[in-house]
Amino acid sequence: MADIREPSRSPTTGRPPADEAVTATEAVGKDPEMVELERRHRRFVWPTTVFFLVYYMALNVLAGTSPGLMGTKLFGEFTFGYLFALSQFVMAFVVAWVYSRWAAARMDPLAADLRGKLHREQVKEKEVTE
Amino acid sequence: MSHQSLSLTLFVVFVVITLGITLWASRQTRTAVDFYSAGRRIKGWQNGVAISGDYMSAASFLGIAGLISLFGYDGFLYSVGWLVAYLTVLLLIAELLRNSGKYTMADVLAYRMRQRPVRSAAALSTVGVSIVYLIAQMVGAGALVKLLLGLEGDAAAILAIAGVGVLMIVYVTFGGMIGTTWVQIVKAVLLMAGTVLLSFLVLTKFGFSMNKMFADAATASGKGDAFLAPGLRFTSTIELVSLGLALVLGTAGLPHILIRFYTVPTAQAARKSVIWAIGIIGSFYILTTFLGFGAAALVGHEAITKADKAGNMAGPLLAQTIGGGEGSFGGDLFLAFIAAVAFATILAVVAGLTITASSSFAHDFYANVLRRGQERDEQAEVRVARITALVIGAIAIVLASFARGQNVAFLVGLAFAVAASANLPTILFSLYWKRFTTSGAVVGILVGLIGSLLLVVVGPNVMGPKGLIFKGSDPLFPLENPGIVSIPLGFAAAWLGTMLSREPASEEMYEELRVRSLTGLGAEEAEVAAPAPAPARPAR
Repeated sequence: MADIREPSRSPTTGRPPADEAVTATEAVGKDPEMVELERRHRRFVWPTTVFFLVYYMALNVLAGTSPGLMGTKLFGEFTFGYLFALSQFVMAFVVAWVYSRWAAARMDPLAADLRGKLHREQVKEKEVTE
Repeated sequence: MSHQSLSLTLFVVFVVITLGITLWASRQTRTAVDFYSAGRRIKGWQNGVAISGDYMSAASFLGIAGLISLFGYDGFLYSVGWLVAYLTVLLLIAELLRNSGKYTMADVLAYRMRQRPVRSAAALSTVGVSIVYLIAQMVGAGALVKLLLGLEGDAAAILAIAGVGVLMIVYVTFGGMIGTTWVQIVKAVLLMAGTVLLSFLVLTKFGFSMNKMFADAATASGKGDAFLAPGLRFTSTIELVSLGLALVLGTAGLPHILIRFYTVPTAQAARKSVIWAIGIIGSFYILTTFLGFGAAALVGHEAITKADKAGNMAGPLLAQTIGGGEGSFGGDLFLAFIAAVAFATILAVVAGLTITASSSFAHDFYANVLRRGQERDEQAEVRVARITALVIGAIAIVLASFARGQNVAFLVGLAFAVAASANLPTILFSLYWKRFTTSGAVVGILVGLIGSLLLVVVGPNVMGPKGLIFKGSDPLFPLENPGIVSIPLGFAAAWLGTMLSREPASEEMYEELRVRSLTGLGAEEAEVAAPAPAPARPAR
């Protein structure tokens, strides 16, 4: 993957430097690495979002529909409802931890790589102009 | 020394410390990026602490403890919702937002859309959400001062509200974002320390047995086991779902939380700051169990509602009881400490909200709409932000005097509903939906904002027998929190507005936005001393 390089197609003459960056960004947008980065991101964040929303709304729905179940004492005075609510905290901590590990391993290297490509592209364009 | 003068002394000490920090920070505020975004030099963990400071408001400290102490289990549902909400921010918003924006929430919209309409709409909703949020903080401040000074009547509460308002304006106008960030950090540390100490002391009263605490709370409440189960505050499933949606989706639309991600240098730092915030805020909300059930068992329903009928004073009263009770030195000292922490909490949140709303007005409306983004005079922009802070503070003070007697957690829940309805649909669509247009964004924001506010006004808390107006008739809208109607309404309006229009330019710019938001290419960089460009990371 790393040796795929987008050719610098941007016309550089007569354009202000800010526009050059935009053109180079466009080139990076079509890079297979960019497509992969976007695919990975969406395939992780959306299913995870659905999961935590369903898990969270289950608490509210059960609180409304089944106060009896929620009030059932499981250990001493600890009710099912309180333990289910506490489990939401555990769920949030775990999801946050898993996401940060995942993003560091699967997102950050690709993003850094793409930034590197853009930098080289810009340097090249600058050389052409000069 | 009476508890009044003791608490006042402690409070004054805190104010002097924070004003000192603010004054120091004001000397570091030179440019607009300093004023709005602290030069993007805030570290990830520092920002995480500051987010926690911004987030754990009077609603969390005073409101939730009050709701749990009066209604038991149902109050704890606020704690859960307000934490889980951070997953929405972490997964969908924080990093992409950091890479796409500059100073305000509207920057993300303006990136791919026509600036003037979207900035006007976003400035309006930022100011709207912030004012609703501010009202709740002011109500908390008013209740606290009434308790501290032992004053009766409405005049005292209004005076307290005005006093907090003046302090807030000093914070914001002198300190800007750097000052506010450090105030948040100091406050977050104080609040956590106070809460951990209070929770620990509650546990000692029950021989470190949570079982005994729950049992005593249930007995003292007079409700028995029902106190440990849902149903005392919320009986309708629809009301619960409506509140739950507002809480879990609202955070991602809160302008004062979102702009905190501009203060860090990179998307990774933004991610790290949310992780820190989740850890700190999560621990705090778990501890609300001890504040709430502890107050129910040790202070008791009657004493809590006597001090404030919405329960807002449960936490401070718990401190007084644990310290030895009213009139004892220990009780007065501990009450003073917890009250000073609560004051710090409110002041810091008020400062964060005010700077957000005033930045948005100055940057989005004044600089980019009125001045059409030409001849950027950053000094003038900062001056406008400072004047706006004065005006917003005044509006919030006036409105808060009408909302006295409401629980502050409930009031903030309304601000979350407004944020989730007006801001979240447009932020999500502009980050993830290529087809999204300016019309969709403007219609979505306006319908979500006006719809949610209107449903609150015709709902049971403003209209009807329990409300402020038309006490003879039933409210037009049955739910206290409008989330279940207004959030889908905001999404539907943004979708419909988009489908009825076409904007090829927005679709083109989306291509750039997706690269920039995911990789950080071309994102606003940290202000560094040396102007040398950052070296590219070696490719792996």
